[in-house]
Amino acid sequence: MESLEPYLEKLLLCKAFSELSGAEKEYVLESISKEDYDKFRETLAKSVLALKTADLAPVLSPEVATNLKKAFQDRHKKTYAWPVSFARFHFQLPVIPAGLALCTIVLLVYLFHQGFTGAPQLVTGKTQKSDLDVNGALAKPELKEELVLPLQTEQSSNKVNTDNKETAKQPEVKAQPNQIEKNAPIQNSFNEGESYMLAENMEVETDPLDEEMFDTDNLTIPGINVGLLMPETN
Amino acid sequence: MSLISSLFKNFSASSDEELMLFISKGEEKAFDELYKRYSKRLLYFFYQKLSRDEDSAQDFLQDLFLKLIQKPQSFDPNQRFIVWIYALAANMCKNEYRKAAIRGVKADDFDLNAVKEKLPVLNLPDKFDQHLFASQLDIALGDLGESHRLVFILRYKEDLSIKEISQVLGCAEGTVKSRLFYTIQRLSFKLEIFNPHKEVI
Repeated sequence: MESLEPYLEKLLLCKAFSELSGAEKEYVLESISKEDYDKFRETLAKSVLALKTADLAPVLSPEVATNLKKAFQDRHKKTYAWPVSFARFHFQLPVIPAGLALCTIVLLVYLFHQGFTGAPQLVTGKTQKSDLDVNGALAKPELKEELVLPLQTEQSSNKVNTDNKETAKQPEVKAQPNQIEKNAPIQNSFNEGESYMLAENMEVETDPLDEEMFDTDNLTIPGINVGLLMPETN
Repeated sequence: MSLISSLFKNFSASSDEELMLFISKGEEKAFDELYKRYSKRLLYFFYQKLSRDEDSAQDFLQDLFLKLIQKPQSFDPNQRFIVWIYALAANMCKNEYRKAAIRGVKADDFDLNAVKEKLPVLNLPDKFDQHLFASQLDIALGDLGESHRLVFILRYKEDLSIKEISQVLGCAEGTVKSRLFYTIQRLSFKLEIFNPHKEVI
């Protein structure tokens, strides 16, 4: 069967018969005659040119273009959805409702947690002995919060106090009169000496090392229960 | 971000394969560019393949691009887009032939003897008239069988290789070569009048 081999095609498109070499002529004449070669070459050259340049196709319908444009927009319109895959199942979660649901869940969990633990704790939830009165009962629930500021102040100045015992009278401590006034109702239940004795009699959990460094005997501040100002132990 | 990037993106410099990637990401301008490149060529392909029925060709063109919109992921980026799209178009036509066969409609068979009578006898000037040749070529191609016509168009209009044509049409490479030879032979005969070496009596 006659066929258009790539080499023959190349020769047809590139060279006239007169331009062919001896070997090329021999190859061509094995397939077609010289007259056919010229005719094929002429037809092929003109056909290629016509197919490339001439507009032989029917006029495109503008309706087709419009329909396709609409189809494309429908296919790719923004869904604002999260693609979620679980096992073999695939979901499209709408972003806004899913986001709201997630926020609600987080809020509910937070509120549920708060329902058990109450208000945020400013100091550790562990009741300290210094919070108790003589009979061992909690002196006053508000006491813990009221004592926070002095306690923190005292803790921050611990290192200074250990270096120089006299520094107990420095500005941090001098600021105590304001707190004393604030804590007046509690302090009023004891005399000055009694409050000191009370602090001594209570079994405060303190590190022996701290006791050596922090001599409470010499740390007397009028109107302040020094025992309550003891550094918080581990 | 996508909107901003698509506004400034110049898709005319992108390859067909890159455009397909953008289309799968929803870039409308990429689709417009691809449609601009291929709509006319594919319409001509369908027109030639569907017995020169222009309305059917328009419908098939729309269906083909709808498939491209709906399932852009079916395109393999390692493949040449032009081969893929023409193979898809050819398969659509094959399916149409099957349906037509079921309906009892006969395919338009190639009648070699009828060709001679159909060719108009023109008194042409020696100078090659390109436009006139193009219209006569179109007629001559229309008179050829659909398989021969398409092989010739894919080879010399779309510049597909013999191998690629065999992939598109689903036939052997040898078949493509023999069809090409036959088509050139027939066209040379039909368009002989345009041959300057031909002695016009």
